[in-house]
Parts: sequence; C-alpha cells; structure tokens
Amino acid sequence: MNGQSQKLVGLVMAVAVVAAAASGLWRLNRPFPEYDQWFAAQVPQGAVVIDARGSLSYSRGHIPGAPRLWSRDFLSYSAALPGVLKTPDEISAILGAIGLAPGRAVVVYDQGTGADAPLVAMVLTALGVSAKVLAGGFDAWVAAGGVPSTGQVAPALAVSPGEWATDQTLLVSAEAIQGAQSNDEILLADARGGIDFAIGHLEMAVSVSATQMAPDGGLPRWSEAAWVVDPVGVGPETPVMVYGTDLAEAARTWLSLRAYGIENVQVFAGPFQVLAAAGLAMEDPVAGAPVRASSVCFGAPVAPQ
Amino acid sequence: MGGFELISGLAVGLAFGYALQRGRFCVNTGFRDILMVKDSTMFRAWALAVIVQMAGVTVLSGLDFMPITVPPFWWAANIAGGLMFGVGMVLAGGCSSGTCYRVGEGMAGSLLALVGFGLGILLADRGALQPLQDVLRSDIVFVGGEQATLANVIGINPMWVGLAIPLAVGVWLWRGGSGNRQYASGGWAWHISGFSLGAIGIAAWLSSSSVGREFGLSMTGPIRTWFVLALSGENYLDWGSVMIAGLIVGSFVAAWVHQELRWRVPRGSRMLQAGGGGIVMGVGAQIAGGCNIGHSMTGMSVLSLGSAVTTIGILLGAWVMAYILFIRSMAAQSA
Amino acid sequence: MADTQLDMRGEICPYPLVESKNAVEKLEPGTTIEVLIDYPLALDNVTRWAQSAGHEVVETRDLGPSEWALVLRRKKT
Repeated sequence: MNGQSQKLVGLVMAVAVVAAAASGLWRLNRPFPEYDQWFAAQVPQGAVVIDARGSLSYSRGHIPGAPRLWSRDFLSYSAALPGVLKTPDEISAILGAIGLAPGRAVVVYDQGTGADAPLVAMVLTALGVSAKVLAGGFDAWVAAGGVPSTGQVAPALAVSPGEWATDQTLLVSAEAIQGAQSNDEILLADARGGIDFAIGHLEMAVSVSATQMAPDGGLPRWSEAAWVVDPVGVGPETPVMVYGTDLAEAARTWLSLRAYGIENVQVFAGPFQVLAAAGLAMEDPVAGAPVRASSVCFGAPVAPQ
Repeated sequence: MGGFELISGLAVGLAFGYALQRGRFCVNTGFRDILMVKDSTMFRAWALAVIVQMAGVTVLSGLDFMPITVPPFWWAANIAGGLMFGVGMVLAGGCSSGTCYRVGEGMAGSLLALVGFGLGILLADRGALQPLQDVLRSDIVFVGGEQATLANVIGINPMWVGLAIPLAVGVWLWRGGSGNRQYASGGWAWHISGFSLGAIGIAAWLSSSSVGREFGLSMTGPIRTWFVLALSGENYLDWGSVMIAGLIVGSFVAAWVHQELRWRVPRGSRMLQAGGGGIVMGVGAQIAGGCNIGHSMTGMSVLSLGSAVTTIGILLGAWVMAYILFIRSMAAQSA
Repeated sequence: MADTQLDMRGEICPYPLVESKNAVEKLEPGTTIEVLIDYPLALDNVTRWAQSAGHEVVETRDLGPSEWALVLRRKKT
C-alpha cells in the first residue's frame, strides 16, 4: 500500500473515534424523544399548577397559587386492598374540591425525586387531562429563582365533580395483569429492580426499574434508560403493562416509558402485594433473577443494583 | 447487544489497535527500559496517554456530561496483583495491550501469552486461585463512603487534581522535548501515540458509558468474557468484548497496510516463557481488578487510588523481574 | 560485510535489545555487527540504544516487509 492509502486508513480510524466519542456524548445527554410532552422545563404562564406533596412539605413553602393534591389522596387504604386507586367518582370529587375542571392543562410537581408527581400526573392522564411533571420539582424551581409562598390556596371556584372520562384504559385490574401473563404480545413490566425483583416477581415479568433509569433520583438519563429498556426489546408500539411495589413506583416507570417514546403503557391500579395475594403466578425467585454482567474488570459479574 | 454498542465498540477497538501498532506502544517496554537502558521514550508515551485521558475525563465528568466509575482501593489485591502483573509482563514480553496488538501483527509468542493471560484470569476468577483473590480483595478502603481517589484522600475537589496532574506532568514532558521524531521503523513518535491513545481513551469512556458500561478502555474484563464464553458457554459479552476483538483486527489492519505483518516465532524456551508469563499476568490482573490499561490508564484517568497503587506495583514487579532476567546478566557481561 | 551477525528474528521482547547490547559490547572496538531484526519496536529500541550509547549505526538495510539488517559499529572507547 502506498503512503496515500496508508494515510487514508489512518484518517478513517480517526474519524471513527471522533464519531464514537461524539455520538456517545450525545446519547449520554440527550433528553427522551417524548420528553417535552411529559416534562415541563418551567411553569408556563397561566397553567394550573398542582403541588403533589404531603402537608408538611407544602406548609414549608410551595409555588404560589398551587393547591395541594397529595398523591396518596388518590389511594384508599382498606385492610383488604391497601394502596389501591380510589373509584372514579371519589377521584373526580377530589379534583373538583381543588377547583380543577376538565379541559385545563396541568403542571404537577413534587420535591424533585419523583415520589409524588408521577402518580398524580398518571391519574390525571387517565382521566383525559393533559398533565406534565415539572422537571426537577420544587427544588429545581427554587434553584431557578422561584420565591415560595406559605399558607393554603383556596380554589378559584368550587366546582362540582365534573364529567371526567370514566371509560379510561390506562389503569387496569388484576385480571388484565393475569391476562398479560399468558399473552406473548404484551410486555409485563415490574417497576422494581435489584433485590426486590429478584426475591419474587410475577411470572413473565421483566424488570423495568425507574430507579435504575434515574439512579440519582429525579429525572431519568437517556443512557440509563437505554440500558434498562433496550435489552428488554420493547419498541414504541409494544403494549406494556406495569406494576410496582406501590402505585407511585409504577407511575414512575410509566412516566419514564412514556417519555422514552413508548406509547401503549397500562398500569395496574394497586400495589404488588394485591397481585401476589390474588394468586397470580409467581416466578421462581432463584431462576428468575436477572443477571446483567459487566466486563468492567474490577468486578465479577454482578446483578444490577 | 444493541447496534450502537456493537459499532462503537468496534470503532474504538479498531482505532485502539491501530494506534497501539503504529506507536509500538508497550507499557512493559516503557517501565522496563527506564531501568534497563535508561530510555524513557515509551514511558513518556504512556504518561502522555494517561494525562490526556485524565484531563478529558475530569472535564466531562466534572461538568456532568458523563458518569464515571472509580475502581475500588482493595489495597492488598492492588499491591499483590500489580506486582504479579509486572513480573508476568516482563516474562511474557509484553503488557496486556501489547500482547493483544502483537497477536494482530503475527507474533506467535504473544498469541501463547494471550492464551496464558486468559487462563490466568480464569484461574484467579473462578479456579483454584479464587480463594486467594477473595482474601486479597476482602478489605476495601473507602474515603467518606466513596471509592478512594487521589483527590478525596487529601480532601480536594477532583476537578483540581484531575487538571493539576496533567498540567504538571505535561510541563515535565514538554521540557523533556520530543527527541528524535523519526523512529527507525517509521512508526509514530511518542507524543503522537500518547496523544492518540489518550483521545481514544476518552472516546471509549463516552461510547461505553452511553450503553451502560460506565468505564473506559480495559483488557482484563473483556478478555475474561471471551474465555468464559469459550470454556463455559456463559455469555457476558458487552462493549468491552467487542472493543477487544476490534483491537486485534485494528492492529492487523495497521500492520498489513504498512507491510509489517509477519509470522514471527521465537525459539521453544521463549514460547514457554511467554505462555507462563501470560498466566502470571492473568492472575495478577484479575486479582488487582485491572492491568496496564484498566488501572494504569483508565483507572488513573478517574484518579483511583487503587489504580495508582496497582500501577506502582506493576512498575516494581517489572523492575524486579527485569533485574533478575536481564540486568544482572547484562551487568555481568560488561564487567 | 559486517564482521559478525546476530539473528534476532522471531524473538520476543526484549531479547533483541538485550542480546544486541551484549553482542556489541563484546566486539572489538571499531568492528561491526549485523543484527537481523523482524520486529519494528525492536528496531527502534536497538537503534535508539546504540545511538545513546555512542555506537555508530552504519546502516539499516531493508530485507523485506518488516525485516531489517541493522549494522552497528562498536565505539572506540
């Protein structure tokens, strides 16, 4: 080979390296494809803002004008069915009491860790409301210069329970989950990961953990989500059903999947223990535990934490 | 394995192998020759590669563009494994990256050394020496709940340390001058290969992290995945595994394009020495959790204290073995 | 034509360097040795050592792809 061809090969190598570096950098830092549809970078003018946190956090300071709607207020805690979603009538009464009428677009926020806002956003979405989660939550809003206010917010006007879409399909029953176990087309996603998943999960379920997608809490990173979601083999059209330790955890996975561009996601309207108690088939914990090994040399293959 | 994982691993691996071959890069030569013939040329190439990668990784992770993982400071494993690796690489006639790229050039001795390397890794990872590995790794020293780094062990922000070291070493390298830039064989001068390898290391961090393997270039783990696949069928292949395959091909391409491809076979006793050295290297690298690339380049780029200690161990092990094998007899010769 | 020959082809690192060094230092001052080398790094190392030690690199002859005859003359001291 002559000198020019030699130089050409070298140039190709250099270009390949730069391309690998640039695309890696982009993959690590790009937002999800549907990110803007599900996350608000800031509070838009005139939007209805809802604080999804508990009373103590709220009383310490909240976004001015935002009424409080604690995520747990959507759940009923009877001895028989703890942490199950309330009925549509009960929910529309709750929403009416804070003055939210159908047809308003909403921005929901929590502290920033995703403990509350995804669940509220999910329930609102199930009722046909266009809801976004404030990226980074209250902490990010304050860091961006927001001045919190204390004290209660009275609803602008008392609204009787409006006509919410009650034939929603986002939230499903235990029967539907059981159906997914025997339906190859549907991906059954467990919102838990690591030890919780390993010691017992539903047969046919795979781990799609929101915590792994957002290891620092808060917003998922593309690269982490890709590592969690891509191996599972799910595409934008794949029907997915999610369950978690509780509805808040399932909602976090729901939100991450939707923001990642996966459209057809349904969620079991209760905690995992209800499914287990209902007698759904469980995977043998030892055989079912997933092992994703790393070739990073200072470890032997390790199960994902 | 996703498409991006495969393609980026190949791209980085090919370039890595190509640059190693053009630069004749070898940490074994670099460490050994300081003592044996008082030549620091290859050492400078290694030092430059480390500081380029260190500066780049410090900036990228400091600005939160990229996650990093710091190899742990399991001091006993770092020291013992490093010493063993140093001894092994002198016997094998090449460090782990050197051995791999020489396979691509057609060196039979290195091929045997690579086989030994893989077997040594398995021996320590899941064979008869696994208890030794476990014992040596049993004590990890953390600093404030985090993996120990050159920065947190003295309580300074890693951004400062990660930029100060490249600056200081860079000045030292600059003052040393680039020396005669034309090497007899026509390969890359040390500053070219050092800079290229540092840049490739940064590209490795970025593309590997973006597929969930939050680390950069390494040899030991990736080689282990191939040997485990071959000998037990368990598939742990990932970005690193693809990169290693690309390395050997890239070196082959570089040698082929420059007419340096040749099947080179040493005498029998040297073949055995290379194979045995490979096994010792493999045991040492596995115990330490890394080798001259995983620790001495990638681990150093994130200021890992464990990597620094391992590197010192490699240096000392190499010097001891070089003294026993070569320097003593050379001194007797000239006397 | 060199006075002696040393065939280091096929050898693993660092034997080309070590044996060349020993051989050169054993030479009568002013005599030459032809070292056959087939590995690029070895060529670099031996050449660089010879130059820094003060020996003369008489010639580097291409014998084919990745094959050289390196002729060194031992220095006079």
